[in-house]
Amino acid sequence: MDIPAPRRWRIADHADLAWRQWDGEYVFHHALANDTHRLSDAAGRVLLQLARCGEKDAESLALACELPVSDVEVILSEIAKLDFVA
Amino acid sequence: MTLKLGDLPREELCRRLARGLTLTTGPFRFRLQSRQAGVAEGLATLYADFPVLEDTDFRDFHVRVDRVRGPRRWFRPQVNFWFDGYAPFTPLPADHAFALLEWGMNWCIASHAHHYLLLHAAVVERRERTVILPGDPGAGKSTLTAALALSGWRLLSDELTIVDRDDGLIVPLVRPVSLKNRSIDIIRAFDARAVLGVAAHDTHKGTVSHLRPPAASVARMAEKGRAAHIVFPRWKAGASTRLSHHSKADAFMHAANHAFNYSLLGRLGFELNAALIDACDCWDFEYSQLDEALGAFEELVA
Amino acid sequence: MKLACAALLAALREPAAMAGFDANTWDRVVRQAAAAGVLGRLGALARETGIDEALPAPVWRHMQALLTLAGQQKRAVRWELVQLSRTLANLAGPVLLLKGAAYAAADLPPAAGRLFADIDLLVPKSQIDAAEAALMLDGWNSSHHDAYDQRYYRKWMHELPPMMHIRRQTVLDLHHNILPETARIRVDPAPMLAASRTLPEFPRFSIPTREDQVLHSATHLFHEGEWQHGLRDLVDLDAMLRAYAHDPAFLDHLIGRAEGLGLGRPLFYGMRHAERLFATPLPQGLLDRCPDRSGPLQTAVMDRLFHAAFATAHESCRTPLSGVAAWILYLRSHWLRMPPHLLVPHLMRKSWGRHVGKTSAGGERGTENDV
Repeated sequence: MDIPAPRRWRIADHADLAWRQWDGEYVFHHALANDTHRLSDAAGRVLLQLARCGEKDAESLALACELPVSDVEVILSEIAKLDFVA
Repeated sequence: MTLKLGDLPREELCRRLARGLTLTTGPFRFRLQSRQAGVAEGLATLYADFPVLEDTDFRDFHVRVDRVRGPRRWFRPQVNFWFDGYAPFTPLPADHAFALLEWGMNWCIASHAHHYLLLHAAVVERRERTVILPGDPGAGKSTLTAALALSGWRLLSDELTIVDRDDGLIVPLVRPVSLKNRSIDIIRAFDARAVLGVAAHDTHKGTVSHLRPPAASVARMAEKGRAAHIVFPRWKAGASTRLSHHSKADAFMHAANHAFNYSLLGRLGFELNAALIDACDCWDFEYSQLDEALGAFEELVA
Repeated sequence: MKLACAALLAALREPAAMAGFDANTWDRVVRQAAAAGVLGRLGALARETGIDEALPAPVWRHMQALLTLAGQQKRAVRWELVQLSRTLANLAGPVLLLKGAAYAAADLPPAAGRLFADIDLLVPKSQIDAAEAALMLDGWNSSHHDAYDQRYYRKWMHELPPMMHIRRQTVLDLHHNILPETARIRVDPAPMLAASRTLPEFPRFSIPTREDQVLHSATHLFHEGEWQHGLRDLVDLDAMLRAYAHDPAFLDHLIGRAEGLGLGRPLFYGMRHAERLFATPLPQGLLDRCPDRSGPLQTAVMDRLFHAAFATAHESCRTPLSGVAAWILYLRSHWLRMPPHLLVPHLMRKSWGRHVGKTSAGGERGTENDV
């Protein structure tokens, strides 16, 4: 049986992200959309992983961030709505 | 010796004001024009220590507060505020003329001075530590700011915290502190020497009056401050004085959401705001007794 | 133009002149430039020529503020194009980006320091309904709900009522021609659409050729009624003519294209006034080659009117003629847009609206009714 390849995620084109982290809380700035968002520790770490590694699927991200895959999948779909990832 | 507004005899003040009087407030020069007695009165009471400049200088903003044309010029007279011939507001009753001038000057800065990051917060300084006070309406920020100014703290601003984009320092404005409703009585009771302007009643903010800024603060209007603390004050009846930590990320978002031009500055706004949060300890501050509050603030910068 | 504006014009013509301005001059020039919508451009010119270091600090701060705003708008239009590329993905035919948004998106000569408010798009008339539908599906709402205004726009104008995005609050003007249906000059938008070039970064969108950019700007300026930005629009024209005329063939193509599109008259006025106010370096005899140029009497009359109107932006520049001139030109632009029997009822309705106390949207100068 052919199992479809897992979806690979990356930072959205043109996103140009900047961030800061204080005490486990993140703020991110998406320069092109000019949006600023506050993200939880988990979401921030996922986003940073993508920023460092280019492209990854949910499972590798979960491994790298030491988070359950299900959490990572929820995080990814939420931050996709913010145009941070694609 | 620089000419100060208080050096001008009242007649001379009125004459210059009718033609156009140039005042310096922090980095800005305003050319003020008005024939309204209330405006002259307010300026004489509250801006006596401010430097007056020549007409040949460059002015950042040309503003005018005068009676409107037409029937409302005489019957239940109204005044309006003009910025270089453009009126951004609807007219107000003539006895709100001075308050209108203050609001108008704030509008000029908030709408145009995008060289700076403009936060909606009060800012004071003591012992080289500059403290920013973002305030939600009704939280008692203005009362606290006025009390601090009357207790030896340097006043930088009561409403507009100006962050310089080149060095991240806070730029003073030192204009009169705007007080509303009960705050006016509280401050009068707090310090009998407090100089307050004539109150304007039934404005859209209730009764409004202004506190004259300390001469020492005015004298130092060219000295920028280095931010060390961000304090979110909250007056609560019967509360004991309490300082507790406030999340930095939350403080960042609050400042960004309440700033006048955070979005306009794009990535620069983000970086300037972030640098501020990096440099400051962030606090929640609850109080009910003004004296105790001042004590807590002294300890903060000890 | 009056002496009062001489310094501003000198600065636009020759940025190095700014180094010699005293405080008194700056006090006037900054206000005039801000009112006319060209303060950002002065800032860009100052930066380009290295004069910014010699400017008084408060003056440079005001210019920087505008450069910041312009930079922000440039970023915003690019984000809009990302979104609109998805929204209009299935639309047939080219989607042309015009004026301020085009300058910003493609970094054209007028872009530096320039503010604009709306995004102007032009699509073939056959696509206008599909385009509007796609936009509405994606959160763009029509801003004019008044039935009269809707009818005015849809029946007689070359554009739909402005649309605003519900979340992003951006405003978009969808055109199907550069002049209204009812205009005395009939312009066919098809050649402009056909000749347009896609934007490499946003392939869904095209911009007009350089010649068409100049013609569109001149036509817009000399047919429109809003003179608050007359000077700014002439500055745009000057910027394009200067930059594009480096290519020796450009001016020949421009004349030929004007003839082909029937836009010789506005081009003539455009080049004439740019040359007079900004000393745009145009070759000897170029204006004489302009098709459909006005005769000597009409030229003289229009000169006075346009000149005075260009100065309407700021109180200090206005002559006794300016207000009247602006009014005459407002009438003229409506005359050019609509046949007489349609004109009078429309104009009367607009001024009634003013008396009933409808206020304009306020907001910052320099961005009202901007394109």
